[in-house]
Order: sequence, then C-alpha cells, then structure tokens
Amino acid sequence: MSFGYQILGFGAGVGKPAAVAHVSDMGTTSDQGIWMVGGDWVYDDDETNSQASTANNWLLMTEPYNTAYYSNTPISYNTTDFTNSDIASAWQTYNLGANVHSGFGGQLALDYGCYGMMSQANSFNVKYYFNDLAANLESFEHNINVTDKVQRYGSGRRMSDTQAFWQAQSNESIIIALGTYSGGSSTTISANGSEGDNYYSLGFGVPGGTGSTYANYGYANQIFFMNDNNTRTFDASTTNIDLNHVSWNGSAGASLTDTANNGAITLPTHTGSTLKPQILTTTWGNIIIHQDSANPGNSVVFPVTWSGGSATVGSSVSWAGGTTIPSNECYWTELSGVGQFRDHHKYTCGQDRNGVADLYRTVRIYASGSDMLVDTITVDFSNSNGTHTVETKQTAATTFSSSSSSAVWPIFMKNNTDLGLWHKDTAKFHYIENAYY
Amino acid sequence: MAEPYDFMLAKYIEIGKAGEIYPNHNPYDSSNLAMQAAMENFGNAHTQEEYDNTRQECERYVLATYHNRFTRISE
Repeated sequence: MSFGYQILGFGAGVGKPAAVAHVSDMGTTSDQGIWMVGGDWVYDDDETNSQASTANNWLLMTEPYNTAYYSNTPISYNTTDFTNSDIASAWQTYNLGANVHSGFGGQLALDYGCYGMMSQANSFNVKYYFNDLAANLESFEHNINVTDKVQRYGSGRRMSDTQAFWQAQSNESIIIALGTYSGGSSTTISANGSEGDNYYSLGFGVPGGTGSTYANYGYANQIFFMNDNNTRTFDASTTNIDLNHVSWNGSAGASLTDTANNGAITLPTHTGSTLKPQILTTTWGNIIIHQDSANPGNSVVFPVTWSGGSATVGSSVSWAGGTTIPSNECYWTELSGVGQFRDHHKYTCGQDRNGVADLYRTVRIYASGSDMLVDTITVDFSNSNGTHTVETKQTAATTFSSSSSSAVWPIFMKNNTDLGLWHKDTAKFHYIENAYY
Repeated sequence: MAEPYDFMLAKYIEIGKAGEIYPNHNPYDSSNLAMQAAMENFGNAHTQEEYDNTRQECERYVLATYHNRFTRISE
C-alpha cells in the first residue's frame, strides 16, 4: 500500500514543484537497515543492473539478530506506482555455527559488498568477506572469506566503488585490513593492521583531495579515523581530536602504514552534548562537522587538507545553518559513502549527481509535537577554507507520524531530485518526489 | 559481572533514548558512553575485557529484545 500527499501551499506560485511523499510499509520495525541498493533508480546510465531479470529497482534489508542468524530480505520498488514488495523470503547472510552472531556490511558498487560477521563459535571468531550477489538476490554468487580474527567483533566498511576496510573495536581495537574488489572470485587484501586502544575510532573518512566521481571522492588505499589521545573516550568534556591516517600500497599482503596527527583539532567546549564529530569528503580535502545538541549555535566545521598522511586543519568556521537549521538535526553519518558503524550502502552518499562538486544533499529531521518532520537541504562545501552555504529545499517534505526517532537509511536517487528514506521506527519507506527542487 | 551489567544496561538505554532523536545517533556510540560510565563507577574492579564483554551483552540484549528502538523502551 502506498499513499502520496503534496505539501499544500509550498511551491505554489514560486516556480518549483512541491515535494510529494509516497509512504509505504517496508520490512518490519525489527529490521536493522539497508546494505545494498541497485537498479535504475540509482545506477548511472553506463552501469548494468545484473539483477534486471529480478527487479528494476531493488534493495536488501538486513533482518534482525535472533537466536541464530542475520538474514536479508530482497525487496523491489516500483517508482511508477510507488509500491514495494518482497522478492523472496529472507535468506541467511551467514551461519557460522552458533547462536550468537554480530556484524554488518556495506555495498561497494553494483552488487558488490563487504561484510564482517562474528560467531560465538570458535572463540568468537570473526570472518571478513568480499561478496557479490546472485541475479535472483537470494544468495551470494561469490562470497570470499578474506581474513579472520578471534575475540573481536568486526564489520566491513565501504571506502569507494572498489575498496573496503574491516575494523573491530572490542577487547582492544584494530584496523583489520584494507582490500580491493570488483566482483568475481579475485580479491587483493593488505596485511592485518596493528591493534591496541589507539585504533579505537569515533568515525572514519577517506582523505579527500583528488577525484570528483560520485561516492568516490578521495585517495585510493587510504583511510583516516578520529579519536582522543588514542583512547576510547568521547564524552561531553572531550575537545581533543586526533586524525589517524592509515595507508596501504595496494599490494597483496603489504603492511599498513600509520601516521598520527595528534591534537589536530580542538573542538569548542560542548558541555551537555555527547555528539561526536562527523566527516565528509570533498574534492579538496575533508570537512569535519562539530555538532552541539546542548547549544546548537556553537556548531562549527573544520576544513582539512592532506599531504600524504599529514593533515593540515584550517580555522573553524561557524555552521552556516546556525540555530535555524541545527547541524545536530542533519543527517551526516554515511553522507560521503564511507561506512561507519552500521549497515550502509553506496547511495547513502548525498553528493550531487549532476557534476556539481562538493554540493551535498541531505535532510534535517526534527520533532514537531508527537511527530518528526523532514526538511530537505543542500550544503555547498566547495570552499577549501570551510566557508559554506546551507539551503532548505523543501520544508516538511514528509512526516514520521507518532515517532520520536530519527533513525533513517536514505537513498539519494540518480535523478538528483528524489529521495528515499526508510524510517526504522515505523518501518515505512518514504519516496519523496521533488525533494531537491 | 552482575553489577556492571545492570549499571551499564541502564545507562545504555538512558543514553540511547536521549540520542535516538538525532539522525546521526548510533547505538554503538551510546554503548561506548555507557561503558565509560561503568568504568568510572566500578574502576579497576573489572578488567577491560570484562567491560568489553559486558558492553556486548548489553548491545545484544537491546538488539534482541527491543531491536534498538530505544525510544519505544518504557521507563
């Protein structure tokens, strides 16, 4: 079932179409999120939907932890009548032989992914994978176990269309490895990294400064991550942020090289707010966004440029949305297409699809009575000094009724104007036409 | 480990409920803050590995019982 509604009074007479939200039930409230999206609604014109015989537009929804397995439900979406349907019953992502499993994965591009999955069996052994999907979306065509690690939780995270890294942060932390994959049975994997609390991460990024292809900004074979003085701590009193750079030469089995940028950033005081900074990639470097839920007007952004593993951080710039569009109400988590701490897919990347470098699409989600409202916004981060502009495109483009949760998995559409949002708390999919007019 | 578990689970739910209103919230951030609070409260009475394992037990419980819908957990 789907219904659509227009935001009456908005857009009329001002020369742009109003947002139209089509809302349908999708999955269940116990589902964990979307980790693969494919088909015409998101692919570039030169990309082929290998699952076209199954669905023109599709996604994989991760079903819950239970007594034995994680699983996937393949779902199709019709952008003509705005309805969705399950393609098949849920299938097991991994069954590693015990009742406790944990992990998540991400999409690289097309039907290629990365995953990390822990099983209680064999001393909580974690297995790390590259994989690609079968044409019917009901199994993996290839599923390559690239490395293992005992006594760690761990997960796969997207870097670009062809690269991923695996990281675990329990019982001391470790960047497991970086790897390259383009489908099939062949992979290239680095040596495992070092471990210790200094590999604990508050968030990951790919160093920017080269390339401007959608969801592929940044240098190959490199990541960086934030922490405070090589500890696990981030709370309302944390102001120091290190930018820890990790690089690989791209050769099988080659070691990872670490470059510490200790004390790279000093955050403003944020008493009462425990929101950690967020990282975006740009064509000239990176933006790090400091949010403050207690005093949203104190939000700032830091521009970061790179010379190899060495970071240069510019002066902070006040968040241009001020308290009108508070940065802590805006979605940033996987907005560059770099995996963080949950299931993620390529099209969580909000970068412009019409070639406007460093223009990001995203949403603001905020409480209104017993509901949550969604505004669509764009942010232009094209200036390397960190100055930026924020623009609301559509106000109250859709509503999460009777909910106080902002947990969403966005799908930024190829047409550059429409937006999909799966809202976990209500298990509804919102397809918003004209979201970015 | 009963005391750290109960303490950490209560903190985890409290922090998660407050955080879920923000779109960048992640349960993992909340469990990290809950673990920090437990470590401050119980100190060296437990090892880091015990705190890590307790954290994972809390994560599994909230995931399996409430599917990480913190705002739907009753007071």
